[in-house]
Amino acid sequence: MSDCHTPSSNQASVVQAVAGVPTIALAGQPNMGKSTLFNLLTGLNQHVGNWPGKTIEKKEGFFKHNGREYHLVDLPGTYSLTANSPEEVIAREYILRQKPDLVLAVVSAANLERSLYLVSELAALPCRLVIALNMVDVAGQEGIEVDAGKLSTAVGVPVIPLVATHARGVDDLLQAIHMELQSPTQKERSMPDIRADHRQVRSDLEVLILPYLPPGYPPAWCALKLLEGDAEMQGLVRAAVPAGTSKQVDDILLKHDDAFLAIASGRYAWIESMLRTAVHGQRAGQISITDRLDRYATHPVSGLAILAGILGLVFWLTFTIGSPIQNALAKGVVVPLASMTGTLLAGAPFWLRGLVVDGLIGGVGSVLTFLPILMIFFGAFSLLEDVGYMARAAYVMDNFMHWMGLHGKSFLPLFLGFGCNVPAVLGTRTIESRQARLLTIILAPLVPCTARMAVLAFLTPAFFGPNAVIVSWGLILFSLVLLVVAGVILNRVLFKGERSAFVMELPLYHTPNLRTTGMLVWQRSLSFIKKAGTTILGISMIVWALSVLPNGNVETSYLASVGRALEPIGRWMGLDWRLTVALLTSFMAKENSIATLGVLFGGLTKAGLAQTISAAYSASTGLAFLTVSLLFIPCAATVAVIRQETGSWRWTFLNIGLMLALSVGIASGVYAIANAMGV
Amino acid sequence: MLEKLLNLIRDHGVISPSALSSQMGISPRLLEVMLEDLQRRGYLDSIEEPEACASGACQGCAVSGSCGTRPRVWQLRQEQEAVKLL
Ligand SMILES: Nc1nc2c(ncn2[C@@H]2O[C@H](COP(=O)(O)OP(=O)(O)OP(=O)(O)O)[C@@H](O)[C@H]2O)c(=O)[nH]1
Ligand SMILES: [Mg+2]
Repeated sequence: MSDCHTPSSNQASVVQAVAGVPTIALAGQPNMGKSTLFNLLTGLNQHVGNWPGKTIEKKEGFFKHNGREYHLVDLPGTYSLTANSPEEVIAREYILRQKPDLVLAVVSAANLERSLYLVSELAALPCRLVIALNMVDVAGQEGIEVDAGKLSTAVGVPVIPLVATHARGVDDLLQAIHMELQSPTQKERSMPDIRADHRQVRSDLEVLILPYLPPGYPPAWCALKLLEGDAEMQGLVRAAVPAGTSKQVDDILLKHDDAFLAIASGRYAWIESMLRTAVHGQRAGQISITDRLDRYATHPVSGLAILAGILGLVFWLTFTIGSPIQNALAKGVVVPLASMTGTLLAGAPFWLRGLVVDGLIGGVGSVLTFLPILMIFFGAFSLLEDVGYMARAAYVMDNFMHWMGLHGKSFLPLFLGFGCNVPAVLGTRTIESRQARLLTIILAPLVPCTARMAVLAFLTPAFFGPNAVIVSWGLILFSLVLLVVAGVILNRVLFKGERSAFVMELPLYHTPNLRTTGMLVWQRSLSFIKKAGTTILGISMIVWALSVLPNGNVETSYLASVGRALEPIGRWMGLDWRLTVALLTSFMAKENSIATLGVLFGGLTKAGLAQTISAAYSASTGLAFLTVSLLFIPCAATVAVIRQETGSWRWTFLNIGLMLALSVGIASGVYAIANAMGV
Repeated sequence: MLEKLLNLIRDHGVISPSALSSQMGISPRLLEVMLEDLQRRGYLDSIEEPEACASGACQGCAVSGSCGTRPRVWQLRQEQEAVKLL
């Protein structure tokens, strides 16, 4: 290992290093402020070109300090000195082969955890090193305090605090560079530990490759990179050594193919000890509140109870506040409006009166009366999301499965759909077997997403009135149980009990922003009203038309014929033709079923849709209808990802067909059981 | 440290970074760096952000406003598929 403070001589660059002018290389991870510092020091006295053979920008320049001149090179940002990217190859080749007189490691005080990895590698290289502790302003804002003196003592390298954007600390930095360049000896540095056996392997490798290494490469360093699994270094060595040696090297590496973990672990332990010595304050308050709450919220048992409690509370709030308003609107606005319009249009043609009274007011009007319920429901879920709770639901479910001793392969992807099915489908990417994956995708829509729960919030009060809370809560829990059972079966049959393990990020809890929530509720309500004025209006008109054609009698209308044709299937679930037709229209959007019911019952009602319906159907029929609505075809977005992920329309349609069968089958079962139990 | 981390993940089935960092006795930030490193090295797979949400397919969903905050998830690769470093 030669001294690396001889001025570099063989640089093929425009800005030729002048003899006696020391070269300083700026090294650091991306976004640490290297270029900011470079521009600050060199000003206009810089040259921008490309690194040889690469399109990566090379910046070098000169600057003067206290009458002394320096040559400065801005290296590309690199995470480590392992050749994971062209940038990393350039940076390490430059440091090793061009041997700058000093390497200035630019690190961020606000993110030392990340920046110190490179330093741990640089510290092990035989070159002069100074650490520029940049962004102390950002660190200060985040309440992180880095003790530069302690860090300097711990690493054994000068550490100078800096705010490059405000040129703060630059004089100290340049002074430290000068001193370091002048000092005849280097301080003892602290270096990451390498396990004793790996030290032995390293020196074995070193002996093997020593005679063949190109000039400039420190053999011990090369041996370590080989052990770490650095592909570039392995290629270089393979090309340089004779076949016999190459075989010996490969044998050693094969035997120690997990050495990376140990070597990197040594660096992390080193970083950890540096942090422990030099860093204080980490926004501890916020994290500990989250941790304290999560002790209960993510516990397999209490977490599950909290999840169930929260869902119950949401429905309770929604119905307790929303349902009375909904009823008042129905009785106070829709019913009088319908009868008033009916009287007003008494002389108008039959079709006009029917269209306006039954189609428009009965259909669209009925749907709109549910707006208060939806607004409260949207608000509750926005708040839960904003507070940071929603992610916990998937976590709790999976945790619960593990707690039960079910270390399943496909559980988490399934539960990830809590709130939205799309990530559940995408989550199945971790399943290698195509067959297992497709089946897991089929189950994904069983996860109660927020929109499905909104549908429940929408339909349950119409069927169950005052019992809506307990029914919708029970249905959601039921679908969760269904999911768990399906997951267990899937795991037994398809995955043969294969295990897998996940790390799942849980956002910090924070106080919700009522303004944001309010805005969200407002936007969603608006878009819902817009939908009521367009799609739902259209559906209502079509449904009304089909319900009076061809001869004005609902019972003999086209719609009734369609409904009656499907009634045999509907009957399994206890649905008459009206409910069957309503289910059919929910194919496009769930709220359509309300509109359809509104149209079909609109003319008869004196009490408002909800009460008319709850009087017209038995509880078991209502339960079956809600079940099939909850488990029915997923939304368009989910269907689109299913298509994208399975890559075939055939599978997508098969999937839809299977889900249809599943929802109808389960609803039929629910109906039968409910009847047997005398509900 | 990384071996211990991988073992902890393996044993728990599902665990959050904050639980991991407190069991490892390290800061959450350092843990994050280590997780990303393990991912780069092929020991963990990251389950990607749902790009479908960006495609506008979620427009029809009444509650799509809340899907900006999907949690990040990493999966431990099975032993037999662990990336060979050679
Ligand atoms: N607040 C603050 N911002 C800084 C400081 N130093 C640099 N920045 C900002 O950090 C960002 C990144 O700085 P760069 O100088 O481009 O970082 P770099 O290290 O050259 O990044 P790469 O070239 O990608 O490796 C810029 O927006 C700078 O303005 C500092 O001390 N304080
Ligand atoms: Mg730069």
